[in-house]
Amino acid sequence: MFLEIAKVVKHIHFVIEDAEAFHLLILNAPKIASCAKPGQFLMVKISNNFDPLLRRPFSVFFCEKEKIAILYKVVGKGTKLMTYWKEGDNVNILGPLGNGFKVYSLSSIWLLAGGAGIAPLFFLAKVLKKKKANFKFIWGLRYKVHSELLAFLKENFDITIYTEDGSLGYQGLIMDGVKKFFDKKKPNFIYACGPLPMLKALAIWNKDKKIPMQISLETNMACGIGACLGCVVSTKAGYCKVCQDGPIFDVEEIIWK
Amino acid sequence: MEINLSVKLGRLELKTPVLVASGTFGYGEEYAKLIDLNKLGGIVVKGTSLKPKRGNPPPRLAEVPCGLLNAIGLENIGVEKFIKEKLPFLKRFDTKIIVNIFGFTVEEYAILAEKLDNVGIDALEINVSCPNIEAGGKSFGTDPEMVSKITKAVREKTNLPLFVKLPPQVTDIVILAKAAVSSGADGVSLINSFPAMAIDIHTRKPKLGNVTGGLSGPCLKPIALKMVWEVVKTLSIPVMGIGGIMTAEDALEYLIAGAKAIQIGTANFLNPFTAIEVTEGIKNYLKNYNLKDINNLINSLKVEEN
Repeated sequence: MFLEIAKVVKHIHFVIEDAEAFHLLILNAPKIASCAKPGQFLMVKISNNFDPLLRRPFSVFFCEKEKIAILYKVVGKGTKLMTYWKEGDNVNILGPLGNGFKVYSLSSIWLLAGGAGIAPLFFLAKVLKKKKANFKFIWGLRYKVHSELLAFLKENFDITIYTEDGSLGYQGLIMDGVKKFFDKKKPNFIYACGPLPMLKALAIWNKDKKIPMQISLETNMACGIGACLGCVVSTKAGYCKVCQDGPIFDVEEIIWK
Repeated sequence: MEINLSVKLGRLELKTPVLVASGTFGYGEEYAKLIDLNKLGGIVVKGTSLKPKRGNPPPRLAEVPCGLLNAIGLENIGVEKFIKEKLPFLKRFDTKIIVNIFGFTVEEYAILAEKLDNVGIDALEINVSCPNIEAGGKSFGTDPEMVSKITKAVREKTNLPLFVKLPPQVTDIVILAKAAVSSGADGVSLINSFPAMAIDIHTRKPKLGNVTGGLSGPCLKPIALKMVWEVVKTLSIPVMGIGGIMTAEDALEYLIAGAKAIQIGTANFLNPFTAIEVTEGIKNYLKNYNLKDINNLINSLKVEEN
C-alpha cells in the first residue's frame, strides 16, 4: 500500500449523444502500478477544499508498466470534478487496496460486467489472456457507448454486449445473455461486477447451479484501509469490511436484502 | 532553535499535543503501514465495550458538504480481545495509548476501567454518548448527574488519567465539563460528533441505515472551538480539542483557544499523514513567531475588553 502523487498522463472522455458516457484516466504511479492486481482498488483524493470531503474508491482498470488506469462514469459531485483533470495535473492516490480476484481455473470462465463494473473485469481479462485462459466476457449496459471506447476494449479480446434499449449488441439485460449462453455451455467459474440488482439477480440465478462465483462489491467508503468500519456488508460471517475483507467476495458469502 | 512541544494534561504527559481520535484510527495497525506511529502524541483507540459489538446495519456513511455522517454503531471487538490481540502491537511504539471506553450501564463502565487498569495503557477516555439502558435509552452524556456517576464509578476502579469525551448537543457544555472534573476526571475531550441526518430525496429513505448518525469533519470546527474556549475560560481545566481539524492552522486555533492537546479524526481518512503534517506545521508556526515552548501559545487568545 502506497500513498502516491500520480500525474495525469491521459484523460480520454468517451462522450457522445444518446450514449453512456465513460471517462478513462491514465495516471503515472510507478509504485502502485508495480503491484496492483485485478480486483484491487484505489482511493482517489478529489479535492483539497474538503467538498467533496472523502476520497473516492475506484477499481483498477489496468496497469501498464508505470501507469495505472481507472475507467469511470459521472455519478455525483466527485466524479464530475474529476472530469476537469488535465494532463500533467497531480492526483493523490492511495493503493493498491483490497484483496483482488483469485484465479482458480483457466478454462470456461465467464466475466460478467454491468456498466462501470467493467473496470476490474477488464484488468482481470488482460491477466487471463496472458495466462492463455479461455473466457467469455459479457457487458451489460443501458445504452450504447462511444465506438472508440468499444474499439479500445475489444482490442485484445471479444466482448459480447447487451443494451437495455438495443442500441448496441443484443437487446436485453445481462441476465438474458447469462441464461442464453448457459444453455449452450456451462461455465466453470464466474467473475462479476456491476450494480447491486444485477449481482443479486446473478446470486439468485446461481442458487441451484452453484457455479463458483466471485463478485466485486462497491459501497461508500471513508478510509479504504479497514479503520473506519464504514463500508461493511452483511455476510454469513457477520459484517465484513468491503475495503479490507473485499471488495471481492464469494457470492454465497453475501446475505442479500 | 530547540522547540518544546510537550504538554501536560493533568497527569498525562504527551510529547506532542497531536493525537488521533477514537474511531478514526482503528487500533493503529492499519495506519502503521503508512505512517510512523512514534511521531504521534497519542493514539485514542476505537471505542471499546465489555462485550464485542456488531454495530449498525449499512449504509453507515454519508457525505455532506465539508462533513461526514457516520452511524458505525460502536462496532468493536470487546475489551478482552483488545487487550489480548491489539494492545501488544500498540505497546511497541513510543506514543501514549488512550483507550476510549463505553458502556450501557454505569457498572459496565466501572468493570471496563477495572479490566484496563493494569494492562499498560496511559489513560482512559470515557465516551458518555451512549444510550443508558437503565434509563430507557436516554443518553448518559447530556445529563450532568450521569456524567458524574460514570466518572466516579470509573475513578474508583483506576488511577489512570481520565478524560471524559462530551457530546456537543447540550444546553451548557460547561456544566457537563464541571461534572466530569469534579467527579475525578483529569480533563475533558471536546467534542464528540454532532447528531445529524441526511435523506435521499429520490428514494425518500434516510442515507444512513441507522437513520441518524454523528456529524464530523471541517463543518464542526467552529462549534467545537467555541466549546473548548468556553470550558477553558470558565473552568481552567485540561481540554483535548476535537472537531474538524484538517490542517496545522485548525489545530493552532484550538491551542490558542486553550486546548492543551488536539485530536485528529475525520482528516485521517482523507490524508493518513494529517497528524504528522499538523505536528510539523505547529512547529513551523512556533519558529516563525519565535516561540520556544508550545505552552506559551496555549490559551493565549487575545480578547479585547469592551
